[in-house]
Amino acid sequence: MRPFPTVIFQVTAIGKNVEALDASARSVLYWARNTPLLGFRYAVWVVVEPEGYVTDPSVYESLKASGVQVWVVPADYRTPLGTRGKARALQYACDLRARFGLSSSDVWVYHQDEETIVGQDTLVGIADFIERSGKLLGAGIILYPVDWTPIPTHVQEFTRSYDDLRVLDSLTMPGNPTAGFHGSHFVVRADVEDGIGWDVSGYSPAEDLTFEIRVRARFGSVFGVLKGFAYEKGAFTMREQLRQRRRWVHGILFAVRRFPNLSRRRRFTIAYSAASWFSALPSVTVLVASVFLHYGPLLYFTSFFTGFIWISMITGYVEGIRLNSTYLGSTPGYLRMFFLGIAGALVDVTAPWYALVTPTSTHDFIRKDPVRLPGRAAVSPRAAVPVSRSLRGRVPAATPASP
Amino acid sequence: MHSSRTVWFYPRVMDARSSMERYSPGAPPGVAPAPVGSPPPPRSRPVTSSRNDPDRSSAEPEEPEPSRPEDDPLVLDEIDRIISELSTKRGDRAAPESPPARDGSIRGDGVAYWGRDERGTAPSGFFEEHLEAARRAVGHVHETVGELQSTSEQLRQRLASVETELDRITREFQFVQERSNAPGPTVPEASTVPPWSEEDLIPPSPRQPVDSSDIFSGSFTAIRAAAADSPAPVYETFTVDRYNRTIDSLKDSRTKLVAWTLLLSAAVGIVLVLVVLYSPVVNPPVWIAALPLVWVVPIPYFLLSFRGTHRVLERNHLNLPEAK
Repeated sequence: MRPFPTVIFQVTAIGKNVEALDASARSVLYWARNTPLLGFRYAVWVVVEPEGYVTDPSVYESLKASGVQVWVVPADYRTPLGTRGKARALQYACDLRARFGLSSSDVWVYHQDEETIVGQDTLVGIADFIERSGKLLGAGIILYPVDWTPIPTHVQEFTRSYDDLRVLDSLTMPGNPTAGFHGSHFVVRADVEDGIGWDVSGYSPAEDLTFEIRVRARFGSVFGVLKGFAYEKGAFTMREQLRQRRRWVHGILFAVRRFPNLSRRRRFTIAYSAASWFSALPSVTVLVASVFLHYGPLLYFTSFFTGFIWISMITGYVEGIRLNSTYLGSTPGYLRMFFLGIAGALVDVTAPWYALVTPTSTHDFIRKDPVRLPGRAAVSPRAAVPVSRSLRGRVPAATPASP
Repeated sequence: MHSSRTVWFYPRVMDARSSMERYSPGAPPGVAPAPVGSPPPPRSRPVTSSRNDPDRSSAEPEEPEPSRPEDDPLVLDEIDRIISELSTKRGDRAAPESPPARDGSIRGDGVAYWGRDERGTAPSGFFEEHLEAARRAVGHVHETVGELQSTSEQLRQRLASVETELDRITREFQFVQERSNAPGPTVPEASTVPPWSEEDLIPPSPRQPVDSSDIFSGSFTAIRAAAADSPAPVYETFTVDRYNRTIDSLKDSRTKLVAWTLLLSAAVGIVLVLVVLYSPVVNPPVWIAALPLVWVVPIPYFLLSFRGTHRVLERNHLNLPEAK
């Protein structure tokens, strides 16, 4: 007899964005209760650091009362390889599953960041994936409508929604040619995840990328498309956006330079994706310089492709806005969106070079709880506090890489 | 506190003309009042029978339906019945023999025999008071009946809700049963058989006795209470239907998107080439002339992205089955 599958919805985070985390966990509870014939048993796990728990213990106690399993990673918990950051918490959850006998083929783990809200479509998509895909790991498209405000960082996130189509294709192709993966909104069979683990030597800024590399190295192309959206929110300030992208770049560089399980071909594809991103800032610089310098006949060749790259980037914004607009109350006009998008894109262009000249930080904290002031909606808070969290696609959707 | 029996046993001589007239609007002019001190006349007609009086109804235009409960014919009939029963019970003690009706004391509205006699006195000063009390009581009864109706309606709705939930439970149960009896895990198509085997996966750790309530301790009551507390969070609108509409919109525009991307790309490319053509010809140093090569670096990446994006839309239908 086939065992009825169990899905553990696991929110792994530092836990300081309690408002976002609370909504994330409750969205699972709500839709699990309101989606009939779901096809799986479920549990909600929240895995947080001690400093996150003490931010507002009442929220965590309330979640417990609602049926959520709250796990606080012990401060003295050490993995065999001594990994730090989010990977440490993820490994702790693996150990818990092993301890409870949940590392089996009938248990699946759906990974959420602390701001990852699920909808009915997410749950139905997970059920569909488990039943029909025949794959071991599935990732899907993420939208960014939660707490949306017309600011550059939020407009820039739209391009990531459309870029997820590229990520899904790349992920399901042998070798993942354009290096796409998510740190959230993916479901993986528990025995696969717990067998691979998240433990690496030292701090891995992009534990999701290293995880994907190891799964692919061990099991091959076992990645599928997860139907249903997840709903997240972007950073509230350009400074936080820059820090977030910096962490991605550090993760890519870590994988390329120091990760042992990487085949030569895979290392090349990841390095090339990074090079594409790095080429964005020089491209803009060369474009501006072209006003003063005349480059000569090479332009006949480059101009041919330039139009395609420009249009591809613009398409990323237009289609990203269209994908998200169904879930947004109202959006500003296209002209305003254009300028907001330019500002957001400049941050993404600058990020890889900024990452090169700044050290890897384990203390980046991206605030996802909006500051609500009387008479105003959500106000962008200034990031202050340490420690990093969420990880997403490694290469931004649209990086101005060419004039 | 007065009881209703005083209507019958303690007739008083007092001026109650105005109040009595208020209850006998249909009294014909010139009718002689009842004599002072006379006992209450027998009730030859019900106190509230005016609406059932065929003479009256034929002679006067039909009045609109009463809005007050105490004007309701059924209610008035009920008062008549109560009064009648009371009079029967007490007749043995106080009025063994009903006094004959006085001429002229019976008026069309059936209340006149409580009116004044020829000396200008009324048989009972308590009648109006107790009639008013009876009306209030009837009003209260009417309200109570209304509340009962409302409660029974709520009860009916809740019963319907219970039936719905039971139906859902049955469907869930059947669904779980079918799934549990289904054959083993889905095997991928032959061409896409994954290169892993079950042996590659880690063996499950030795199971330790775990209190299942420790792991899956979510109580429905608590969950529902928590959900009820929150003021309609945004995720409640994230439905399968909305998802399918968004995906349909994206997929419907795919062909158009490809066409426009290629068309506009070509247009921009041609314009740029024209700009180069009509620019002054110069021979820059090699290191400057080579700078545009940086624009070439991401071209394969963008081509792969374009192909991948449309391939995933083409191969995957992405739509979800509607939630039941």
